[in-house]
Amino acid sequence: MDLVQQFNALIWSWSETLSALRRRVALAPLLIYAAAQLAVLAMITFFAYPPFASTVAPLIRWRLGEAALHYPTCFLALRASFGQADVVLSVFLGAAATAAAVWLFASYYTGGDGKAAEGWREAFRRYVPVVIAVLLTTVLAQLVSRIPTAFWGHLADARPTRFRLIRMLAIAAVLAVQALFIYVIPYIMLARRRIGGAIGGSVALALKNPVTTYLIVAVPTALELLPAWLARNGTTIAYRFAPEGLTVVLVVWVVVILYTTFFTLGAATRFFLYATQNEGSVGWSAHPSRVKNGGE
Amino acid sequence: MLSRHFTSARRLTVMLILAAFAMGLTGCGNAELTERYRAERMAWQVRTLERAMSENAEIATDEMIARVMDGHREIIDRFPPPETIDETTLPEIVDVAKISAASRLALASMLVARATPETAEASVGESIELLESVRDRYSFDRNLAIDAGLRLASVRELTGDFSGAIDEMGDLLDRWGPAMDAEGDAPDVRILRLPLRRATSYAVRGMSDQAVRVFGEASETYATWSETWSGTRTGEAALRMNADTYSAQARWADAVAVYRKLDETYGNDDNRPSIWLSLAEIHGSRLGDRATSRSYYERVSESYGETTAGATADVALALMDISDGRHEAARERLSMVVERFGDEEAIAATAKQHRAASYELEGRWDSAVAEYSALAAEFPTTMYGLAAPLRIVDMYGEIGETEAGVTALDDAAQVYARVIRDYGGTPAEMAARNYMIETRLRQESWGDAAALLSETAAQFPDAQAAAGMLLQAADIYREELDRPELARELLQAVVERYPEHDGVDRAREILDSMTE
Repeated sequence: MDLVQQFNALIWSWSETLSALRRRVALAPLLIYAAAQLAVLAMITFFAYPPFASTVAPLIRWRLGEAALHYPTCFLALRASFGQADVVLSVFLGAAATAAAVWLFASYYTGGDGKAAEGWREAFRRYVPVVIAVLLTTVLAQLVSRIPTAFWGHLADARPTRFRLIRMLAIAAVLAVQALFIYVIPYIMLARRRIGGAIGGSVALALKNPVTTYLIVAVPTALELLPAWLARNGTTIAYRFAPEGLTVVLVVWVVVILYTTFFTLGAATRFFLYATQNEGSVGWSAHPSRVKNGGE
Repeated sequence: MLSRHFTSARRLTVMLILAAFAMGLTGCGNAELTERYRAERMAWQVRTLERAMSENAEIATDEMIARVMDGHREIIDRFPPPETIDETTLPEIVDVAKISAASRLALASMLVARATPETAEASVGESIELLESVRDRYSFDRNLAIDAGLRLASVRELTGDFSGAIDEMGDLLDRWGPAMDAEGDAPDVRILRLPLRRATSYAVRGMSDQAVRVFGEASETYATWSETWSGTRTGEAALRMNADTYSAQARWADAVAVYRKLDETYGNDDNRPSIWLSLAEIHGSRLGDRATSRSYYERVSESYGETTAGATADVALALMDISDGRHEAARERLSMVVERFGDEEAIAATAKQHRAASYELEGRWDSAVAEYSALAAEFPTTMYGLAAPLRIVDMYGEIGETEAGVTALDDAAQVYARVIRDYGGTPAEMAARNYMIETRLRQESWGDAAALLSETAAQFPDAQAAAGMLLQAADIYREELDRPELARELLQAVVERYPEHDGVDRAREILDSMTE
């Protein structure tokens, strides 16, 4: 696809996602994931109170040290502790929720009426490859995001502007990694590919349509900038207002992530179906209506 | 297998929630952690109020202060002193105890600071009770116990219980050593200062016999400490305190001997400049040995010329040259200081001031005026910069240049007006206003002077000089401007706003005479 076609495909994918949002397609698995995130956030916020004082508190001490158990440092460390918990949650529950959402989006886009339970069933049927795919993406993204501190950490104080630029480049690189792997789950869930084939297919599709794919990932992520900025300025919030305000920021963040994930997955699935069906190389064989009609 | 158990989103949600609670319920809670969290949260809330008040004095109302005190009381009531604390005590319990003790110390200080003649006895009593509780019940923490002991001594001194204060200091010296660690690398300045502080307390009360005895004891204590902790930072600090003790007794020869020992035993690039400056100062100002004094200043200047100690030495050497009539050499040295320390206003302004004074002493008036003008222009907010414009006026007065003096007064008024405008809200503004008032008075510009006096008093109602300014303005309105109604208004303001001021009786007398 040329550049114009790629932009057309991008806008069309988003408009289709918007129509999916109006019909609340695929919201259930993402809401469950958001609920789990909020439950984890509540557990970390109330770590000092029973029943979490004896379970969550030792975990926080293990990961972030004794200082993170003191008020108000615990709230300043909330982003870090929640971030670490969310990495685990995103791999084990988030992977299933993503897979279920992809399946439900695909069902909607192809005229079906898939139920949330069916989506979960399909997701857990391919749970292991999906988890591996998410784990791989997470590890790669984490590695890339740590490059600035690992290699240019000394510039943080000496040349803060340059360091900020490097960090912005790293964020762009993380988004690129995520873009390369964005179609892995659709390939696993919808094209029934094995993990290796799914990764290869995703990278190939992303490289073939770089603008569409990158913007599908990057644009919704921009929505996260405000809560991310607020969370980065946690000290100011804690000192000027109240440390507890940082929990509110993270709640907002969870809600924003819910919608960014919705838009990313919705648009990626829509584009995946369009691109693979047009190529004729990959068909979607999972949808019940297609199975009923004998597939393609 | 897995999918069979998670056939619906609803089941998954229920299982997640159950798993979370099962995780939590497996433990039986951690009461100490919960308690510490509560204590830290309460302390943070009180500190937030305190911080807000210190950042914005306008919100430091009686109500806010009462809220802070209530906050401390709540912490104290909720977290009583621990029964025992030893090395086996959980850190959470120790932390809570420290929070409670910190609130006790803070409340004790606030009670004394906020005491009125009516509440003084009760407030001081409560304060002493709180401080004693910290000293006795929180002795597991050296810092807390020493803080409490020192504050107790201060409160007792403040309330006239001098022997109680002395006993308190003695107890502290008996209980705590001068080092915070076993190696002596962390000297505890609070304890190190106590022997001298105890002796000085006797001296300032005029109890000379006891003062001599306690000064002697202090020197002995410092000598013992410097021996015991020899070779450590604590030993060094004890030796320096011993030198200070001799200086406080004007035993200059002994002080010199100790400073020399300090130099030989512990001298390094960090402490040598100050040791040599002390030796130079004692030799020059106290022992009348200018040659030795000069040699020490020169050593500082040569070895540490780039530091502020070097600048201090250079200024001192220049002053010596000036007093010996070597003005050219002195000014050259001072110019070097200005060049090197141009960014450090206090040093550069001092050097420029002495350059100007040197020209003045030589009778080179034009150069002196140029130097004073540059001083006022370049460092307008420094002590010397603010004084310079009026110094020019004085100088013209001394040499009988009346006309030039009048022009210089106009120039001075312009300079001060600019400082008031450009540095509003800084300490320089208040100083500039004072100089401006002086200028207007010298110009006999009575209306301007009276207006400025009352305006300044209104702008800085809490300043010590505010009541005096109102009185002076009233005098001007009465005696120079024949505006008794304005004078009456200002005198009434003095009576109403500053009833404790020394001039209130005079204000009442004048008001009475004006009524008659």
